[in-house]
Amino acid sequence: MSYRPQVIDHLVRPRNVGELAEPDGSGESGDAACGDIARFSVGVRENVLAEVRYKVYGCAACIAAGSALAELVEGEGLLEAARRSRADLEDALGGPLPEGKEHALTLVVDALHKAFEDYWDRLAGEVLVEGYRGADG
Amino acid sequence: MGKSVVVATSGGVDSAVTALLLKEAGYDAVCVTFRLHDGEPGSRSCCSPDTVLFARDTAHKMGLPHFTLDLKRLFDRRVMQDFVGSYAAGSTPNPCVSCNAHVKFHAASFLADRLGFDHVATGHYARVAEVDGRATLARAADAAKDQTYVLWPVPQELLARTVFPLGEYHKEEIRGIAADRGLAVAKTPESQDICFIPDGDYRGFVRREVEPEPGELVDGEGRVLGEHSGVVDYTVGQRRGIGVSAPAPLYVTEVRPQANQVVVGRKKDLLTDEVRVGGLNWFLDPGASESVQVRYNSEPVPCEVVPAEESGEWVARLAEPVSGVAPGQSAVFYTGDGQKVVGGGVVARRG
Amino acid sequence: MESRVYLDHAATTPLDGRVRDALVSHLGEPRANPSSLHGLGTAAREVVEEAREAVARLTGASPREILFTGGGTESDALAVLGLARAAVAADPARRHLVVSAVEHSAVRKAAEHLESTGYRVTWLGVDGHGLVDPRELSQALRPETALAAVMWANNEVGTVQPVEELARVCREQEVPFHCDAVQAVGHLPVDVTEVPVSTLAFTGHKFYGPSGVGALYVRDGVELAPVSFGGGQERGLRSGTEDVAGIAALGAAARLAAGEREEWARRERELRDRLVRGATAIPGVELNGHPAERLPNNAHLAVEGVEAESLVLFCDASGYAIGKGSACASAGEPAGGEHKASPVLAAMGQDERRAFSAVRVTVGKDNTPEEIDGFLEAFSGAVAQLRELSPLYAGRG
Repeated sequence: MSYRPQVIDHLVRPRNVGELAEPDGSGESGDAACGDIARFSVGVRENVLAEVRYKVYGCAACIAAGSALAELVEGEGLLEAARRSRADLEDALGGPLPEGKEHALTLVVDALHKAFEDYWDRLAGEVLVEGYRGADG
Repeated sequence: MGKSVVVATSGGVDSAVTALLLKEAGYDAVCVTFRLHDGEPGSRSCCSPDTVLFARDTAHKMGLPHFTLDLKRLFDRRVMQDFVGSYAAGSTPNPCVSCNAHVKFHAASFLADRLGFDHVATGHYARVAEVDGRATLARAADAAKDQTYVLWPVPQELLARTVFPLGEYHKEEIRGIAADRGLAVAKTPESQDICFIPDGDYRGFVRREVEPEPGELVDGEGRVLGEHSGVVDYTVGQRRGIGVSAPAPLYVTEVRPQANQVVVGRKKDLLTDEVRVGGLNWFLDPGASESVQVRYNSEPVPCEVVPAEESGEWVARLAEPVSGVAPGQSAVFYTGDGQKVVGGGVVARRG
Repeated sequence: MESRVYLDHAATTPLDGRVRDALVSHLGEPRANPSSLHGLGTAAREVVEEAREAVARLTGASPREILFTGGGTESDALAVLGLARAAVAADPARRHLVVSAVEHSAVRKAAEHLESTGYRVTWLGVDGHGLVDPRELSQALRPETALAAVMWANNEVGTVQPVEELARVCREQEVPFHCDAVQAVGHLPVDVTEVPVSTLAFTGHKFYGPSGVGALYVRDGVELAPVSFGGGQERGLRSGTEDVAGIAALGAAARLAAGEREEWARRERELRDRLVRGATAIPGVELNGHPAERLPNNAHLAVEGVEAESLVLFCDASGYAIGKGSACASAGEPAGGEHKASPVLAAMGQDERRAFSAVRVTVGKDNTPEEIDGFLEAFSGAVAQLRELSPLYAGRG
């Protein structure tokens, strides 16, 4: 099994590593038992993904995927970022990952989306529990 | 209004094709999947298929953005607790109605407003019609799949921004479109199934939440005929599980949780030609009501509607009697041509 | 990346220059089949037998007791399946095996195969260091036991077993004892006159010799059935035309090892200790396996908060070739992405998370202290960076 140079580059020179001190949303994907874990934290201003940070415990593919995804979506509009597919991420990594490593793409995209989910959750506060009544209430 | 829409997608074929049709019609579309309860496959373990992952994948393959909203608390409060509470109160619940009333359309609207989007859409088989400048529900082209019966509680201001692309299609066409575009879709419960009770054991679900208390089984005159296992086990119109032998079959005619009694009677005792309805959501003038439907996928019965003395409630006087109308179920009024919904509400207890 | 420093000797060792010379010179000779009657054949036969003598000498065996095979895995298979077959031919009731839980897959899978055909297997547990308890072995042996198998030294964590005691226990109860000595030969003193094993497997490429050539020691009097058939070479136990050049190279390696093993081991031990000292000075880095009873070249390290593959590749990008600590999770893992932790670490009581965070660094006779220091610098840099990335490491340094 061999990784492309782009993957190794993201492994040894990862971008956007870390955790935002006061994120607008944060999410985690993966399982403590199964091995790989990814965590994304985002800062959103006016529906733009102003800041993205990530952390990953996992194989090279997971670390590289996290770095490539964070780099890809930072600065994008929320809608653009929410559109980013695993195929887009694969392209950012220079092509398909070695066989058996596709889960890395799912892991990091899911963690980013969980951060979005958390963002909506915080924004809604109790509204989504009480029942949204419209833009005024 | 512009052409932007938030589409509620569940991973199933109907909502996936809904998003596809809107995209092809030139809408800026965003897909959203709601987390409603913990019973969904994959919600607990990492490595099994997950509806959210599936729906997200489907959206991404169509080049559409996807979001997930966690609505578990809202769903629990408005749908699941209502479901359990209804049985305990001797009523028959309809969770899909509760969900449409409080959850789906409101949540989709919330997201639409946050994103500055105009419309919301779902994969329901129904249509939005305009009568005198006001939005109203109308039946789908596929009469067998028509879901207006469970959509009556959608507030008019939300209906006004709703699009139902599937209302123009028949179900077989939808499957064809999905196959044609190579859309892989998840297996989701059919509309008649309750999404949070995947094994269909409603009783078991309710009994886990409410301690059933045996009580008296009585006839219409109050004579005690036997024992019931707990009011939660019985609904109006039910024939099985009564356990009392009689010359003719017995049916549950009423459930009285306060007295902890279940009333049984003959089939004829189930008939009624008058239905009291509360909690009405009117789209059109009530006087336009010419028929009423009291059960999913049944023929509407001609009727006229008058307000009841109790403010808020209405009485439907039926041209012919119907059997087994259960409190808690929906009553939906249609126009003369049977195509448009005048309004809908919840069947109230008799007397 | 310029020159790479090689620190994965447990996976394979570089061919020693002198062994390469022997190999090349024999490749240059007119090739002949050692079983041919003519002069060229006889010459080839002599080369093979000379090598056999050297290999025998290295292990304290007599030449008759050495069979040449295609490598360690083949030797292990021949031993396990061959001993089992011979036992059941003599007594159909003998369908029980006793095998340690930390064997190399060559032994483990052979035993699992026999299990699938109806054999009962008792898997011997190990302690937290990976050691088998001879008393447990003794208790596990039964009249119907066909063979017992415990390796000399573990290929993952490096723990050296009390093989002398284990072999004696088996001898006392008259059960054949197979020992996979693939990691031990050429690094530890392996003498079958001191350790009463019935069979012993090893291979050239783990001690600076050729790959694709190995040997199986079979003690005189031990009943072994062949598992493949043909021309009857190697006393009918391993048919097939001999790889003369390869065997000659194995003989050359054996000769070198006989003379230099002690010096090799001393150097390896020094380098290993230097490495272990430096590595375990990093917080959250621990040595796996027995601290004293271990291979002189093996440093198996648990690195808290860091996943093995990412660490190995990071070191590789910095110019240092090391191994992943968990054999099962490397190439050859099922293509579903789902990987399992090593059975060795699991048998030692380690949880999956710790098993996934282990790397194996194994030094060789030609590494230098400067290379070790360079590695430690790259390693600690890699660990620090990967920990910064890790949501599982709460940054204590």
